[in-house]
Amino acid sequence: MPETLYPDWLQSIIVFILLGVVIYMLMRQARELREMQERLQRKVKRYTIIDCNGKDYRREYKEGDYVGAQAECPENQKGYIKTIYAEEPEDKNKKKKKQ
Amino acid sequence: MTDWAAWISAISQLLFLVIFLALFMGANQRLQLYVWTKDIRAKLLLLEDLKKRAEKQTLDYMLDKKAKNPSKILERVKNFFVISPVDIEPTDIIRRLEHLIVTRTTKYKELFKTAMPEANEVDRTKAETAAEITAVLDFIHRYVRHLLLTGEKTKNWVLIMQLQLVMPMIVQLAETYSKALNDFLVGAPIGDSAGPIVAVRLAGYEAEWKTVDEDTVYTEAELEGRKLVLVKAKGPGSNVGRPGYATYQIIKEMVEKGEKPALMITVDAALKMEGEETGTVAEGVGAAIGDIGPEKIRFERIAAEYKIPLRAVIIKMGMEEAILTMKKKISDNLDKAVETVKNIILEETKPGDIVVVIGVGNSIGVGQKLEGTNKEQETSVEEQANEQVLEKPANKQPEPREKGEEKEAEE
Repeated sequence: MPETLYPDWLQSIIVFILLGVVIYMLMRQARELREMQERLQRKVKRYTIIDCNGKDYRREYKEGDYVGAQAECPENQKGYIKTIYAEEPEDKNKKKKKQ
Repeated sequence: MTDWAAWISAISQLLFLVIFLALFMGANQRLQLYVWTKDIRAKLLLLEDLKKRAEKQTLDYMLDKKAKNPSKILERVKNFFVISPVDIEPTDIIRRLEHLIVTRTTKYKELFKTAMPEANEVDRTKAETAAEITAVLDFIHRYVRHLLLTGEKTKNWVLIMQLQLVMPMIVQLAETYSKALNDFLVGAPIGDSAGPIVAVRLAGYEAEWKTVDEDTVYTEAELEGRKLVLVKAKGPGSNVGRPGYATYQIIKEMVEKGEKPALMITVDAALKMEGEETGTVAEGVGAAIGDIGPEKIRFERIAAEYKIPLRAVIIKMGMEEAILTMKKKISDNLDKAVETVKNIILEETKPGDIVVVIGVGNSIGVGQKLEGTNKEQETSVEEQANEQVLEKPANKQPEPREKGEEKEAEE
């Protein structure tokens, strides 16, 4: 065998590095797509706050609820819906990062 | 040096020369262009997916509400356009622009009224907004595709580079619209509903609201001897109303009766800067409203005409937060916004004065008791929503020209 200018293992290393970069880029793109799908599918929790004679009472949002509508209070009184808001479930990735 | 080594050295030098020449001839840019194009195409697929999802959701909703020919309606809305008025001749441009906006809104309403005769007004407005969001997603997809194909056709790598750089922002925008579609169909208040909620809290839940314009309502309340006139878009459907037009009508009527408001306050959601806290309440001067002109200018004109101080209270939030279901942080700060409005009123007016407060924003999920509503039927929120449909006002009267606009036209 004739003597080469570079060691035999150099070519393999270059090929592996290139392959690694390509795989990393593909994985990054796939992760971006997956994260977006997750973001779109993430269900938020909506709550309705009812003003029961100055005391706030929270329950889960029901279809048809709106601010200003009359609603039932826990003690069978009539109250008014004061506000409705959404709470997003905490991001698992963010939670991990925090820890 | 062996023969092999000599060959390798010769080939390497040749390759180096070829690559060097190729660099001068722009091969690196072509390679870069190829990578950018691939990236844009991948994101374009995402945009197409979001558009198709939105179409499906809107059609499902319309079919659920027994709409006739929903795909045909959606196709019409998607391809509907508004040509902006001539701006090299600015005379009466606001009036012309307003006319176009009103024509467009009326056309949409008619379209959905004909297509969904069995649905109530609230469901119709939701379908209308869903179709508009679908149209936006469709436009984003078409526009990005247009730029990509133009760039490829004309080999304009600068255009493709710019497009690739802004693609993450475009995808984020489309994603936000896609999420907003879900939230609008649910019918809960969005961040932009902060203004109407403040108006409802100032009026009190028992207040009876009257219609000024087909989509805008007002009521009267009292605060430490001051008479409050509160204006907002009609809810709980997805509706922004015409607060500027309504306020103009109300104040004009008041002035004719010999009453002049001492203060005008607009309350609206406003875009925060990155890094600012969501829900922060701030006050200032001017008309807090995010429209393209016609409504805002009415506030300014009426305030300037009768020399009424025009104050603004804003609730800061991000763009995404403004069109998605209201976040807890915003909801928690609504009382602060109410207090800010009250403080301004108490500081700047005296008992006996009249103050006009306008809750600007989309009234989705923010209802009101319309004047003459049967109280017995108010126990069920759904019944109340239907009740409001029955209370629909008569057709809109032709609008009188404003003083300022007349002057503009004469000039």
